[in-house]
Amino acid sequence: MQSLNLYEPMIATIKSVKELTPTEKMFEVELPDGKRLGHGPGQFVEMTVFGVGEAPISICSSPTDGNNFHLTIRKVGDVTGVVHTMKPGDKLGIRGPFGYGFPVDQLKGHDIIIVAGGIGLAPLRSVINYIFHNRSDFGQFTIIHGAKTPSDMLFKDELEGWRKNPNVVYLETVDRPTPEWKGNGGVITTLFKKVGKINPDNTYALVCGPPVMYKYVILECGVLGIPDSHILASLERRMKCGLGKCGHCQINGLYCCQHGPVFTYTQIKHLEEAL
Amino acid sequence: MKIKKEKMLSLIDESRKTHVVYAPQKNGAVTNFKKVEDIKSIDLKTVRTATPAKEAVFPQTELIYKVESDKVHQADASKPAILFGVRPCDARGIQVLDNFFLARDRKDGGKQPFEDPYWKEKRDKTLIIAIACEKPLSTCACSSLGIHPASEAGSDILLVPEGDSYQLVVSTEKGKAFIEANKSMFEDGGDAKAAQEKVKKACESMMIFKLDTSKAGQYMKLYESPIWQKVSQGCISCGVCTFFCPTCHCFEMRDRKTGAVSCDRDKCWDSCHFTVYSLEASGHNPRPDVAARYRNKILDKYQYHMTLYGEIACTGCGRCSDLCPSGISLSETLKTLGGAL
Repeated sequence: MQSLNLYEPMIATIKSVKELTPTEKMFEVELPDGKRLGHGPGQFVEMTVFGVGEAPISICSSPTDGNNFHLTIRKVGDVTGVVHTMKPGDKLGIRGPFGYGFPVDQLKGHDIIIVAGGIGLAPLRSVINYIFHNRSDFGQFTIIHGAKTPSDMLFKDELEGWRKNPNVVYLETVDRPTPEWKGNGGVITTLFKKVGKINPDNTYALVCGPPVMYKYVILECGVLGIPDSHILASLERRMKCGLGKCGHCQINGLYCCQHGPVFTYTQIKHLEEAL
Repeated sequence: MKIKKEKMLSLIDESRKTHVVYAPQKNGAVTNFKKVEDIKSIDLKTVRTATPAKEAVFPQTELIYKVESDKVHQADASKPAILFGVRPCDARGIQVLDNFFLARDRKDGGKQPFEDPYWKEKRDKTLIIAIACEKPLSTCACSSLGIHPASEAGSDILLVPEGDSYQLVVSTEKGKAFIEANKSMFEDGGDAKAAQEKVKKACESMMIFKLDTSKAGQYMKLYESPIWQKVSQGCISCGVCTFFCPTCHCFEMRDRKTGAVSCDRDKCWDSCHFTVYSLEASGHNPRPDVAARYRNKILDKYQYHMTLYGEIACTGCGRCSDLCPSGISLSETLKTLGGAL
């Protein structure tokens, strides 16, 4: 068998677990010998709970965050259900990183608008952290963030930092405000009118959220004048092998795991099944 | 070059000392490729095995590795194998899958065009001895797909029946080496090309099933059309057409717990016809209905694969049309789609 078998997982160790919401936890993962994963922002891994199964999980940390990497996982099925019971020191299988992430070198020198809906903030956090760590390489930086309710918001202590950070324009809303919520209410698209004047040709919009969100957000990006090739969407699919073989993540003729998960809108706007 | 039919069987018997031999064998009403324990059980009369020959290289369930106490142990290497008595449609199917699993000449910008190590390992060690078909079944249509009943495509050695002998068409170095190693069994004489042509013509003259492939690569224009509801009418998403397809390659990976700290990982066939196949963790399903899934199967074979690999991923074997419990015929589907273009 060839020495580099990408089907074979590395045995990784959970270093820390942080509860973000009742259904989402963030796991810090260490590879054998402290090896770096070598990922770019926006890529994903296949994560195994041995004896239970494997699931595709996006990496929510930037390569600039350190040797270990982080996975934010919603408890939703068999594999993620068991992961949520795991503790520091427990072992996971990791394959990857896979796919095309956000092309950070291409984004340098440009203004960036992040559009994150719900758990879509997790993969985008990798590129957000990357931009913060290389802030002078980027122009105007805006984060548009929507969640269902205030308690559904991920990375609450980090959001607190963004609210006060003069290096980013942070806009947020919740679909269903609670009496304690002092911020905006309504769906994420309502925040676009709060985005000031932009230089559309010099702007990239990085989008990730629930399936229903994309069409409306992409319309709003169009209204701002952002060219299709500058709208980068990270898509969810049932990616099983990560290698373009198993078929599950096929979007018409493309494989989400191989051609994505980050696509330009130009690539996918004619693919009927994509959005 | 030729070989007497009974000598070929003796050679296969002899080869069992060095190779695992898979050949069609009858079990009740069903003939399938199985490991040969007794050459008398080889069935070369049945034209089409129930399961395509790909199963010998891409098993329905394949152990790929074991995990014990946080260590990954690769599955044992496979033994050299001979796949004997493969029909041209199935040999062509393996060729289509070679291009796919080994990512040959993929025409796109995808990341990591990647050689599947499990396919490659078995494929490198497998010699394919195909046999030309003298009679078609009622749903055979290989001649519509660029091959024919005596086509050597995908085989290392093709046997063409001629009286009490087989004429040999040798297409690969692997095939040549096998003949060289056993040359005392073979004799000179005859005209393989002529025999091939004769069997092809005779068999084709009896073929009644046709697939209109002239519009292949254009069906994307019908993507939004309600025609997919029409052509998929009756489909119960059972997946038979995909499980028995010589070019279908979808698989699932599953863990089986074998102890407190050990498990096996299996790679097993999956089907794009199944509802949960594309279901995402969020509950969103990009192909939520039967028509969308049937469309995906047809487009994958007659559109997407052409874009990526420049060929149709169908060999005209006829199994999908023959086995569909709802009587959906690929021939009718292509005719209806073609008529709408």
